[in-house]
Parts: sequence; C-alpha cells; structure tokens
Amino acid sequence: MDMLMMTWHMGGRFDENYHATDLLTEVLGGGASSRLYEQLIKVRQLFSSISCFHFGTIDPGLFVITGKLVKGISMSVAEKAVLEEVEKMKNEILDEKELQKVINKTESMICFEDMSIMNRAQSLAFYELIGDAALMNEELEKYQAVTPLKIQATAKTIFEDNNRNTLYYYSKNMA
Amino acid sequence: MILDRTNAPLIKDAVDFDIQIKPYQLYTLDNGVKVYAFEGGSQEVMLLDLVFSAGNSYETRNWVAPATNYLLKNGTSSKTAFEVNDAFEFYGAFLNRSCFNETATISLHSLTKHFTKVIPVINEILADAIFPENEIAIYQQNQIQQLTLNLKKGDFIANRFIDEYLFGIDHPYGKYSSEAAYNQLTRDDLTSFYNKYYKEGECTVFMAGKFPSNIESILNQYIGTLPLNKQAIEKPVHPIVAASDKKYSVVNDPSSVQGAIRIARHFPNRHHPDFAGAQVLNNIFGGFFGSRLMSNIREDKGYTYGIHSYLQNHIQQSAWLVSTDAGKDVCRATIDEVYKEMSILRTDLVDIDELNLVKNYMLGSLLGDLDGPFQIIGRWKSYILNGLTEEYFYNTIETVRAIQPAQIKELANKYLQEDDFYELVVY
Repeated sequence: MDMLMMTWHMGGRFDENYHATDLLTEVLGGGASSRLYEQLIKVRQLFSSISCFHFGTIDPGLFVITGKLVKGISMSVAEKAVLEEVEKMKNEILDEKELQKVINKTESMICFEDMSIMNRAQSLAFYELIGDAALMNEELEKYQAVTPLKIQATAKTIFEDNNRNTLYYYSKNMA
Repeated sequence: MILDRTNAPLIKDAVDFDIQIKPYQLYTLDNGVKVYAFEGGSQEVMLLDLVFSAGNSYETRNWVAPATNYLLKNGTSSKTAFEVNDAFEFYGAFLNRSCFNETATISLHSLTKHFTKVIPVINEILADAIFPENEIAIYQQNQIQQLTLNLKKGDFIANRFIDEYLFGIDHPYGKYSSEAAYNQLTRDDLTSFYNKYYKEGECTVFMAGKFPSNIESILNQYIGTLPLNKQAIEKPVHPIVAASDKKYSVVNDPSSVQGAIRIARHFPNRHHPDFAGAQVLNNIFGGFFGSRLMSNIREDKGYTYGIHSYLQNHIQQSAWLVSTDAGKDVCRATIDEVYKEMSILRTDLVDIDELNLVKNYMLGSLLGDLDGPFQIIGRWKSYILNGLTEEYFYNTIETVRAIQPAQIKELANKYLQEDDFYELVVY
C-alpha cells in the first residue's frame, strides 16, 4: 500500500496564527464532514484514509497531511488532489458556517477535556508551563476570535511550496 | 475551604477508603425503552449511549452486524452521509458507533446546550437509514485495504487465531473479518439486519452528564416514539467449539524478527464466584507493570518490551490470556518462563507485601476509573449488560480487601495449569 505524507513548517504555540492554524487542521481533516475526508475519500475515492494534524509544539513545528492511497491510484494524482484542497484554503474565503462548525467542535473538545480531574490538572500544568495557568480560561475566546480572513492569511503563510517536505512511500510489490 | 499548605496531606492507602458507586436514575419511555441516567459533573456536556441487541451474535452471515453498525450514519432518505456527519459536527457533537458480540451501540457526545439540535438526527438515523450502494462499496474497498495491511502483522493474526481456537470460527467471540466476508455484503443484508435489530430492535439507553431540564420529554419525543422494544428479540445460542489441538506455530512473515505469543484458557464469566479472586491473582501474575511476568520476562530477561495477562470481558464465557511479542529466538524461552511463573504461584504462597501492593493498586485503579459521570454510567452499563447489580461492585471490593495468600495459591492451582492453556506463536 502506498502512502503520501506532506509537512509544512508552522509557527509555535505563541505564534499569532496558532489558533487559526489549529482550526485549519479541523477544516481540512477533522472528522467525516471535513474537506479531505469528503473530497478525497468519499467523492474522488483516491485515499482509503487521510488525516490532517499539527504537533502542537511550543516551538515552531509541523503541519501534516498524510494518507493511504487506494490501490491503483497513482502518487501524482493523489498529491495533486491534496494540493488542490490546500490551494482552495488560500484562494477562497471560508464560509462563515464552516468556520462556526470548527469553532463549535473546538469548544466541545475543550469542555470534554475538562471533564476529568486528570485532564484538568494536565491543562493547568501546561498553561502554567507556557506562562500562566489562567490562560486555560482564555483559550476558547482565542478560537472564537478567528475570522475567515485570518484562516486564509494563515493558509497563505503556511502553504508555500518552498515550505513543504513530501514523502512518497511505495510498497515493494506495487512500486 | 482554605487549604493549610504548611502541612503535607495525609497519605491514605486506597484499601482504606470507603468506595461507593453513586446510584443511577431509571425511567421508562413511552415505547418501553429503559433509560439509565447519571446526572452530574462540572461541565455542560452529556453522553447518550443507545445500546441495541445487534451484536455479531445476531448476524446470519459474517460481518453483517459490524457493517450495518458502521454504515448506520451514512445516509437517510433526506440526508447524504456528509449531511448526517455535518449535522452533528456543526454543533460540536460526536456520533460514534461500535459493534460488539451481544450488543451494538450508537453514542452521542454533545454539549448540553446543543442536545436538542442533534437528537432529531439520531431519530432520523433510527427511522430511516438507507445504506446507499455507493457507501457500501467505499466501505468494502477501504476495509479490505486496511485488512490486507493488518494481515501482514503477526499480532493481528495472533489475536484472531487465539479467539478462533478458544471459541470456534462460527462463534461470535471466535469469528473474524475476511476479504470474502466484505465482498459478500449486500445492501439487502444490511437493510434487513437494520430493520430487525435497529429500526424495530431492542434498545436500552444510558445517559450521563448535565441534562437539559426537559430531558425526559425530549427523549420521549425522539426515542420514545420509535417502534422499539415491541417484541422480545430471540437470543441466539452459539455453542462454543474449542479446538482440540492446543499448541500452534504459524509462519506469517518469514522475515519477521519477532513472534506474537498468545497463551490462553477458557474461564467462566463474571457471575462465577472465583472471578474477583482470579482478578487479584491475575494482577500478581501479569496484570500491571509490576507484575511477575513483567518483572521476570521484561525487566530481568529482556525478552520483550511488555507482557500482560488479562481476563476477557465476554458476557457468555470469558478467557484468561497472556499476550506478548518477543524476539524470534527467545519465543520458546518466553513461553517456558510464563509456565514457570504459573508453577511458582501454584507452589509458593505470595508474600504479604506483594499482595497488599496489588490490592492497593487494584482499588486505587478503581477509584481513578470512577472519575466523572461518563465513567460512572459506563460502569453501571457494564453491570447491567452483564446481568449484575451493585452487589457485584461491593463484593468485588470486599474480595480484593479480604483475600489471603492461601486463597491465591488455591486459585493458581485451580486455573493456572499449563495443560489447560492454548499456546500460539505467530512469526
């Protein structure tokens, strides 16, 4: 089975685009109504699985899209299809409703995370590590402040060809 | 309360706590569906878990039950799969589904304030899922591809084969997927399974978190009006057909550097009086990071990164398993050491300090597990689906507290006998 992995450099936890970047991974790869899942797995059937995520590092880190190709699909077709979705993020303004969806999802994830005592302790420790435990309470507002224009500007900053590394993984019996 | 931070808090052993499980509320919807609810927690979120008698015990052709469960949310008469997913995800809600042996579930995690927006879509899925041909084809294609990949892995093969030896390939606990099973799935299979076991099926609801104030009437409107629980679903009886040979060695990948080892025996279900005591014995044997198998085979011999033993969670009958991956040249030595540890447990009394450590570990884990309303309803759900009551919770705690080295040795002599175990290595 062949696999494609693309990474782009992105800013760290204190970067002004951090929250927009996080939402960008959700728009592209968060769940069965995300763009990559709907377009590349369901509509075009180029990938059998695909995901989009970032490492959430404090220092500048990586934005990743990775997926397994459907048997018989060529790497160049698969790569081109991913880049088309990425280009749309740069060239089109995100619909307010789609932005609202990923903000709602993020709000929900924060609430669910805060349910267990262990997670609450971990979050408090993390925010204290990056400066102030009280930042934990401001996180949702920072996501809610992200606009469609900010998402587009962030996409333009990250999705530059000279900012990308690509790994093509070919299985022995299919290469 | 103002904490006095000049004094360190007292250290209290887990065994000394008075551990209690908070009770659930039970009510019945208009159509007879029972709702077990646990209200609580600090966040405005909730979990709604719909449990159907729709596990793979009920299918007449392999993999129809898991496929139906998986594709439930992939389209209705008025919504595409994308629109169904979007309807949940727009409100930050998550709809998961899982298929087990006796049961299959649909679980909704939602913010309390959006619950009324997403519950109508669950009603729609349960009344009007249509299983589009195209969705089935994509499912088959992607599942087969994933299976092909998994079949290259020794541990994946080992997990399938050991269950087959214990229960038989036609038993719900012993059967597994195959390319042929995926290919044979038809839309008719899925729709008829859906009609019988979901649309007009047998359903029980478990719910936890913070609820909207009129939760009962909301549930009655969207779940209570469905044609569920009209007639009792016949529980199929599946005889266990265990393999006659007990020792197996399978070559899956000649170039592999590791062997996947599974050593397993049948064990009664949770209603058996030995179950709680056996869990204590299991923890000493291989149930946690400080266990004897781990200390000997990982820490001392260095044959493996990890080795575990556990009791399976089955309703009809359980099994006791030892599971590890070890270097190819030390697989035999690993198996010999496992049997050696069984023999020591049969012969020598466990040291009281080691036993007390395990008791503390077990009750400490139990306390940790009861963190939050979802975990509490999860425990109740497990008891209710296994036909157990809170007595089981308190009896287990009492057994763990009271058990003595002589009883551990007795249980080891009863259950940790080399000849009773199936043994499998997949290279």
